[in-house]
Amino acid sequence: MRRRIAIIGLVSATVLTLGACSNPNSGGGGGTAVADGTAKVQAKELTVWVNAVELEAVKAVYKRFGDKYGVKMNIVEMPTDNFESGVQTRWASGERPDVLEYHATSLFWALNPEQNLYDLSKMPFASRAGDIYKDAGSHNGKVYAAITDTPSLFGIFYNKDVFTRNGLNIPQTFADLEQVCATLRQKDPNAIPIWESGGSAWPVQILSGLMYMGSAQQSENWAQQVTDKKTTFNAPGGPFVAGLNQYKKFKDTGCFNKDATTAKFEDALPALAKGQAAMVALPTGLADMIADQFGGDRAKTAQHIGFAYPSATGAVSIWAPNVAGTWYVPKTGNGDRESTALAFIQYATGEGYQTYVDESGTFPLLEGAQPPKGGYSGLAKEFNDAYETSTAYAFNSNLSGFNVEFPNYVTGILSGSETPEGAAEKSQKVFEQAAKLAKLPGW
Amino acid sequence: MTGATRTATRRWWHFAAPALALTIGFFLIPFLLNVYFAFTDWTGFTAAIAPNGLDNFIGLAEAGILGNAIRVTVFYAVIAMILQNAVSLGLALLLQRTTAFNSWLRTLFFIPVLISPLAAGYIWGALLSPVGPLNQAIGLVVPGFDFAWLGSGGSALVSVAFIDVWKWSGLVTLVYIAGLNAIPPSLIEAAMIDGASAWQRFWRVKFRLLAPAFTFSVVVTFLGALNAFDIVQATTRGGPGAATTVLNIAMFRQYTGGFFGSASALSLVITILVVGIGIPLIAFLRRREVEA
Repeated sequence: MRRRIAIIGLVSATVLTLGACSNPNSGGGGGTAVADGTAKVQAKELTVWVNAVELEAVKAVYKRFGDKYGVKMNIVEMPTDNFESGVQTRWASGERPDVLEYHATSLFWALNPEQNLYDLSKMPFASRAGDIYKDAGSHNGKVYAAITDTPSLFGIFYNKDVFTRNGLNIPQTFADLEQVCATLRQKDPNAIPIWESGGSAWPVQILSGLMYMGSAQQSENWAQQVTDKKTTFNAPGGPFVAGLNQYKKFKDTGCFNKDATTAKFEDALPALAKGQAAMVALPTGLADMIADQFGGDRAKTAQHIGFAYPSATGAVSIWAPNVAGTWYVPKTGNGDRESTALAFIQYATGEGYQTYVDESGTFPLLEGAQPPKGGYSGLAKEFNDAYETSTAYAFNSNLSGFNVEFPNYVTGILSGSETPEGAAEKSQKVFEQAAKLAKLPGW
Repeated sequence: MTGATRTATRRWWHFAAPALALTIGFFLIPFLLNVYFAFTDWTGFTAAIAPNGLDNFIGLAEAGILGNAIRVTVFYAVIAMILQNAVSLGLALLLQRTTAFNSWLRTLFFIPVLISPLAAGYIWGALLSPVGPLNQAIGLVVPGFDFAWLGSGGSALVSVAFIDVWKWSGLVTLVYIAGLNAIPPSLIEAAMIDGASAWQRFWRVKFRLLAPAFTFSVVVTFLGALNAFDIVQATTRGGPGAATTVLNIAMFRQYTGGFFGSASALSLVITILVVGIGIPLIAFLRRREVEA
């Protein structure tokens, strides 16, 4: 009898535990502060979760705000390698910072913004950011992210000396890229036409997808069509499969380095600087790391390195918001701290913004701010021109589920274990599964 | 039964309670929650969690994630288990006698066990690079040798399984040495007097009597390898393609994307694999012990 009671007790406790189990993402306590640009500093301390690889100019924003308002800024660095999973782990267990630095892509949708984050739509910066919130940092028409840093552009860094030596023109299309590759293989066989970094995985999606898809993204907002079920990744004759086939062609015709499947992007930088590699597809956020190859001399870097942004049918620079300088204000349940966090956003996007632009040396994102006092440094002018001339939002940014798996499909193509058509089919399946689970409209 | 014995019998649970509480709190409840969440649509995207039947498993299977991850995980575990036991048994036979030199060698082979799996992964990632020390050494015999061990599907999986073998063989070796030393020397002497050769002494006497150590080592290495994650994450991150995407790597990606229900489903598959393979394996090996 006693044993039966014990078993019933254990089962009841388990059932109650399961029944009481609720999604920590539904926490959403607090939310009492007003996010309209009038928040006051009411707390003496703020906790900020940041990516461990942080821009110096962004770090300076925390310091200046802390010094000016007497707020102690507890900066919690999350390891870069597992940044997303680290944030998810803490978030899913109900832990919240006062300010969160995070992606402005669909990755932040997985934080259940409606429930857990302040809607910043009515803050003054939201109306000074041009069209950026049509694509990034927003969800269901509401702005949740305060994006301050210049977007990262994805394109080709090329060695000007190699190009000049071989009489090459700057590529505008993928056909041009193919031509550059063919010329180099013939005239300068010691130079690697395109350095690819399969060992780091994430860089391989730039050339194979982001850049090629730029034309389709710019002309017909291809990613939105996938979300709206008007096309698919594996549509016959579609741009996605064509891009992967073009990528495979580069590989098959020897355009890549021999160790493309295992090489790391860190190895690409000295190879590019020394002219061992003619081109490398990377984000502009790494410009300082390229400059480090020239002793940190940005002017000298710009003399030897250029930035091109070819796409399938014309030059289109691909942009995506940086994690650095992209902030969210979670609802923590502590009104004083929430108000102070909003005041920090007001400072970073308002009175402190121009200083930030001057320090970072890049072009301003928010209207009303002037270009950096010292002028554009190094390649920043080229980046600015690329962004102003022709740009499109990175197609994979808001395709949930797919954006996590895409690099693996491309390394599969690199290693020969995956075909472009197979990768496209898997991409469609993985997106469909994610879209249903994420309950995207129409799924 | 005396009064003191009765009191002791009544109070047994006082001693069992801490262990029981820890087991329930840190094993049973998380396990039951994982089973429950595997059949729900739990994501970070919305607040509600609702049962969704087998949808997570079906979705993962249709996307080619589930079948591939099971195949890769089992293949990885089989390679790791076979190599680890073969290498460890060989080392144990060589280092069985306790001499100063053997003790030094045992320590040397045990050092990898103490290294963090992530560190082991990073070290071997560098050693196996196309321009790394291994290829340079091979290049002395085969000039220009630059094979990317971690860059093609088949060799990448075998390479990461080999790192697992390197990491844990020292521990399994100690188990086999303990097993060998537990065999009564008189049995070996009797076999020698009967004219048994070295191979016959090993195969017909030692290997038979090593059955308990063999059971333990095979089960631990195989089930341990089914849980592979850190070494793979540090070397290939599941690539190239899906060549080394073991179940835990696939689960980690689902989790990173905020798909916690799907991640739980993959976690449950690991549990099913461990139980589904582990219990028959143990039963088979225990039967073999009795026969031995």
